[in-house]
Amino acid sequence: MTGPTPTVRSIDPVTFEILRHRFWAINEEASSTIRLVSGSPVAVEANDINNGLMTAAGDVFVVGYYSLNKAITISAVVKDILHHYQDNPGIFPDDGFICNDPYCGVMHANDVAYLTPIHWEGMLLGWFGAEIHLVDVGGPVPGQVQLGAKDAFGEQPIFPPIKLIERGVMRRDLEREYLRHTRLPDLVALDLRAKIAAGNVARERVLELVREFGPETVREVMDGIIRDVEERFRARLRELPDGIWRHRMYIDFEDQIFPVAMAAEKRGDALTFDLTGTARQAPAVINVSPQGASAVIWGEISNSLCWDIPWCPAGIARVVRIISEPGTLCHAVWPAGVSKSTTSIGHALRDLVNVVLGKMLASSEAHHDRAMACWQATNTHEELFGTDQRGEPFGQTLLDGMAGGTGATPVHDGIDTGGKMNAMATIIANVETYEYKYPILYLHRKHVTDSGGAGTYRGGNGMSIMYIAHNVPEIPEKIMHCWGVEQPITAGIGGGYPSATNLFEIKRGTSIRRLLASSQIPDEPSDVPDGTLEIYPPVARTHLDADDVYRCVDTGGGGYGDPLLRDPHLVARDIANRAVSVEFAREMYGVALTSSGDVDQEATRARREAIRRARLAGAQASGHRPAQFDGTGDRTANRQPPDRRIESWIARVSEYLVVVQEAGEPLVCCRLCGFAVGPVSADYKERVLMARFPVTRAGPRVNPHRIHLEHFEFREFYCPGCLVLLETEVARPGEPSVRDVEIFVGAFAHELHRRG
Amino acid sequence: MNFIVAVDSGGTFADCCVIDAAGRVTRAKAPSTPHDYSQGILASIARAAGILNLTVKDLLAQSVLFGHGTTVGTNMLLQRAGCRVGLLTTRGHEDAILIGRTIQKVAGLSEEEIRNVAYQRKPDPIVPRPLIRGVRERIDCLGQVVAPLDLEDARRGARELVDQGAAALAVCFLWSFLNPAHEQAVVRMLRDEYPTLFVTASYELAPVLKEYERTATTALNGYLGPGCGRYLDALAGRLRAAGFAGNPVVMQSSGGVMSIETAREQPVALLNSGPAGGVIAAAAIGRQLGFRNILTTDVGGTSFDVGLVVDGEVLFSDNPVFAQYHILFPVIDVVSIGSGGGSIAWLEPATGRLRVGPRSAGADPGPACYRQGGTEPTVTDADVVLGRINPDYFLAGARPLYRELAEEAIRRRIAEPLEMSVEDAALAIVDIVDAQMADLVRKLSVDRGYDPRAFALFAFGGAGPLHVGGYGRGCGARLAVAPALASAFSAFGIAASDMATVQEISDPMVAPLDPARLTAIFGQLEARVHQQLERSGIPRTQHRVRRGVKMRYRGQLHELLVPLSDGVLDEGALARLIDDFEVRYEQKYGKGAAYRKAGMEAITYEVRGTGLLYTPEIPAEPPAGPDASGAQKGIRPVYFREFRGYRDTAIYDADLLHSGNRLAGPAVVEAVDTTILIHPGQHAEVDPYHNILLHLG
Repeated sequence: MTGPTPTVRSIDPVTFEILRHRFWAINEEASSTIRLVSGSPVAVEANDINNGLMTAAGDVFVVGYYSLNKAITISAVVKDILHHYQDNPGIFPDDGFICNDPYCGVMHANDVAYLTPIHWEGMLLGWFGAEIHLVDVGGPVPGQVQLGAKDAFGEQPIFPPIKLIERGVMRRDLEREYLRHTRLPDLVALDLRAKIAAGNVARERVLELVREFGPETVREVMDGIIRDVEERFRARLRELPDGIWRHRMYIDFEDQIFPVAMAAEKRGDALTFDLTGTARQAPAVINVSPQGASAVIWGEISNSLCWDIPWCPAGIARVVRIISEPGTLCHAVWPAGVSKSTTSIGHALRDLVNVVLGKMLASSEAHHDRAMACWQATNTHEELFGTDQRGEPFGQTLLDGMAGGTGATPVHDGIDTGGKMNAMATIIANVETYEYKYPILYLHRKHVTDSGGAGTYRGGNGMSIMYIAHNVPEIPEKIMHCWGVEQPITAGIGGGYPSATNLFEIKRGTSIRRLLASSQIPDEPSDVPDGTLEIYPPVARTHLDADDVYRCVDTGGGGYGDPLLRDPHLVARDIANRAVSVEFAREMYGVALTSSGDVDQEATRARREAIRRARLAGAQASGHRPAQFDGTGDRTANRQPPDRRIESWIARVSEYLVVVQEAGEPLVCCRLCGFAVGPVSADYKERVLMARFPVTRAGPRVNPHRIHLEHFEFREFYCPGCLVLLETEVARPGEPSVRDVEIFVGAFAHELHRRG
Repeated sequence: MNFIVAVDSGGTFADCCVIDAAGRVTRAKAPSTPHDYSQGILASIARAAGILNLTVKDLLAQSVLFGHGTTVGTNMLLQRAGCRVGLLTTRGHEDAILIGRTIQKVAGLSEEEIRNVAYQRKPDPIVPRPLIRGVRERIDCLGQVVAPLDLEDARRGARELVDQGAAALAVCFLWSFLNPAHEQAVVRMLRDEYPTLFVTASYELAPVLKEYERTATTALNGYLGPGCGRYLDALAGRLRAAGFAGNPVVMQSSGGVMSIETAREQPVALLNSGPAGGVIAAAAIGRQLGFRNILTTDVGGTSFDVGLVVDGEVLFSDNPVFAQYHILFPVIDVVSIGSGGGSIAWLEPATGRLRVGPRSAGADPGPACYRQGGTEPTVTDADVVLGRINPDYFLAGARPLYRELAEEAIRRRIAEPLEMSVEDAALAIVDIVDAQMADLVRKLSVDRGYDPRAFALFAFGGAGPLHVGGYGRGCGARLAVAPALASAFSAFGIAASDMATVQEISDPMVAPLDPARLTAIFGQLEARVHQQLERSGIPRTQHRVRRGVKMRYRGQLHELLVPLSDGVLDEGALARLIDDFEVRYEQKYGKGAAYRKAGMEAITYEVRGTGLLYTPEIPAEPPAGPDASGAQKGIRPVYFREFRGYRDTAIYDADLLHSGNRLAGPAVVEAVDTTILIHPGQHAEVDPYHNILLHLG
């Protein structure tokens, strides 16, 4: 007999498949219930909700496709309940618990979890859990970000798991207590009912399954789903090379810079994420608890590696080890505040997983095509408060920031305004919807030309909006927050450039109204006559007057591969589509067009040679001298075809570097020109050419106002043989480069040899 | 004789349905002819005429109505075969249709497709960026002009687009539904300067809030316009030449038919009109039988379509998606999933688990038993192995099936690796696909706020009646109906349809609503409805109109359609509207879900107009008693789980069954185009219209 062997032998495969699908349908039904009952636009519009089904031990085996970390953190809360409450207050049928304590599980206080056990004849069979992001749960500042907080005591009130519902009856006293803290008690009460209704639906439907199939079978399938995903995920890891992949980002928040580091080490079917090197924890706002950090990492792994595996975080969690240092940004220790964890360190961890796994896939032979450069890293957020065009008070979040660009791959450009990675169902409201709800008038909402990272395949472009206050004299309160303003945060891979930076700007005291009255619609703030331009740091609190023009840009996606190797016809098409400007095409892609818009082949060839020569000059000017480089760079004009040795490489390192077998240690070579970089155990970055630039090198949309240019530098690494761009990096001046890839081919071969 | 002729022309077959004055129905099929669909259409008419012993000319000359359903618009969109369409829009908002509210990258995709993150894409744009021009103009949310229209700018833009080869132009400005002056001026200029160009204006086609969806709808209309117009003209010409003297009508996505002239202007209304026909037919038969709540399930070779009839009315989709574009047009809510007879059974490599779908063998190579080169086992192969499908009587013997190939495929790919018998493997495939369909039927109805247990389940399409005994039980339905017309069901729906039009407009207002404003809005909408129907040749006395308001609690995003009474719109009528909204809201979202403190608002107003067409009564057959033995055509072994093996099972000929006949499972009823399976323990009866009612137990 041939063919694979079923892993869960005790249940027949048909029953397993039927129940697996049924659990998925039950969880979807619970999601529908939440979305139908909830009155919150954040829940319904931004899909900032999720729910999941868990085993008796609290392992999540089914999640929805909404905000992933919300369905994963419920597991930690259940484990906390099981640990502390078995005897007192006990866990009984139809009980319901709520919790918003980040140190017990959730990401931040605004995500209130609801957990309800599922019992069969008095025996605990499983759990249902749901989280909705609530607009306000109290605290000194309305909403999420507790600006100025010194610690957790200066942020929203938090509570560990509390039994709100006892055997199906809601404790009135506790509900009053719960609703006391928020500025929006009606909305919070409605969202609580949405979660309770969903829990009732899920429990009833699971019990129907038990009645039909028996508790043993149902329990075995729950465990079986997790074991299944674990096995399939391990099988996926075995398809990938062994090694370590690293990346480093910086959160530029308020006046400080916080590095966040990640190394993913993969050996066989084991995967470890090491966050050592991440900054010490901040007093408040931007930290995350270790449970929250794990939830983000487990969730993001699914996006990158589980394209044909059901998304089941518990199956992933059994395989992945996470190492972090207590007292750091990603491992907050009480009483550090975490009120913006989701959109600060949470986004950074998401983006780091995206990049390190992208690099891992780029090193892979089997799944090279799935290597994704970074999708839109953290996005801009804004909140408006004031009196609307109907004379009524309003206060809400504008969610346009979620429409950044996605990362390129070795076979595709990123998606223009494709959105962020952690919620596939991201949707932004129509301009007409916002103009109806808030007193604003959009002057534009458009793709930002040149904002996606350049590459052989380019990153998707980000989005820009420009609006004025309208039908009101002013919008008195406008809060803006993000990071990634001074430095590009959305990284490219394999020689791809990072994308543009986030940007907040306001041109004050303009003649915009007169301009409009004369049928002139400005494209950019610079087209608006008069007034003064104000540029904002990542976090700001301000106002918008009737003659002010506000504009905000969100980052695009990272590029993949050296832009000089992009098919010039694709660049010509990009120019026709206004995705890329003529200047950008010339500077970054080395592509020139004829007057009719076709590719000028001769001029393009010359321009690309000139850029390669400039790379060499840049590296020499930067004073970086790898040991074995003779300093002539003659090969740029006269590139050698790769010799035969290169064609039989034994492993990939990155897009252009491969490993070839040598008599001694395997050697890393450029697969384009055959240049021997060095032994596989050495860091290639120390043996190739490097040039340093200001971050504005990555494109005209990167920190266009040159804020604190001295904080960061941009590094490019070239093959000394053919000057192909191997990798790019953002770092602080003087800081060592990150060794972004270490392939274990040598060690592996050695081990094989020893065994043989 | 006054015949009604309807032809539903799909990807594989043209189905013709002829109803005579006595209500007798004749149906015939002919293969589709994609290079020129009218050939297949006329061939199907010829076959129906043959059955009636008439010539095509005689049949068409005696027909009072020719109704047509076509996939030509859908195909044009899916194959990107529409025209070069240019778009004029508000300056600064040129990218709205490309941004697609970000969700465009996953709109309408399945769970599996969404999970494939590295390969997500937005659709190939129907209007590429070089064919979009911003025009200097701006109107605000109160309908006030903020920036006056620069008509010269629009003229220049249009000229550039035409110079680039645009064969159609679409115009969509922000807030044009509140104040259409700018769009009107531009459209006047365009029609003046380019009289032969196909011009669509958003304020005429879809004057509804939400600029992305409105722009996509307007642009799509332009994209389909010239091609669909040519198709419809050619078909009308052929019908005239063949003897039809009347004006043909065309099925639209909102149910009901429209004139060719209307279809030429609104080709976007042709999208998805095929599945709409099936739901309309179910609603019509439901009326006859007294079912007011119906779930329709159409199981074909590659897709499983589910629709809803609630309280006798078809439901419109809140958010229709075509080729990843969200559009704003009344579309009957039919959700399609890639699951059907052609779904492939396979073993998951890493775990060895049995899975069915979502990949399908389609029509080519098709199931292994087709002997067209397919080697992967499908649901149809499993049905053949289990004896549920008669391999010699598939499509009345038109396509022979090869049981040994079905067995071989299941044995090699499923049974041997899993160490099961071929029959157990086949049963497992059927059980899994039935369970999936049951879960999806349940999910779709629950998503819309309805409990499937309160619905009758209509099963049609080639494989619906065969599987409904399984998936119907799984989703909790008690009664299934296998309609007599089975696979020509959409064609029957077209024949049974009235002329219809839906006119909508947005004008967001916060309650208390202003009676004067509403009176003006509905006056305008009703005038448009009457005008449209009269233009289609329906006299005013035959018009029926119904008003509706799309409302929500403030701050919410999803609207609920609330019917509004006829007659004078005074404060009393509007107070009743508010009450009705709250009642409906709680019905849908549960008691206590209402969020009154937020206040209410009305966003969009609609009038649905119906122009009554001649529809003959289908005659009822008097009951002939319960004994069905006269219809039994034989016995064959069919495999059932209950018996852990094959059991000799009575096979009945559907054409020989009579009103009142009763059948006890296990039994199989064979019709020319489908097979009805009655499981052990289930009972069926034949109704006076020859539908088979299956009690699922």
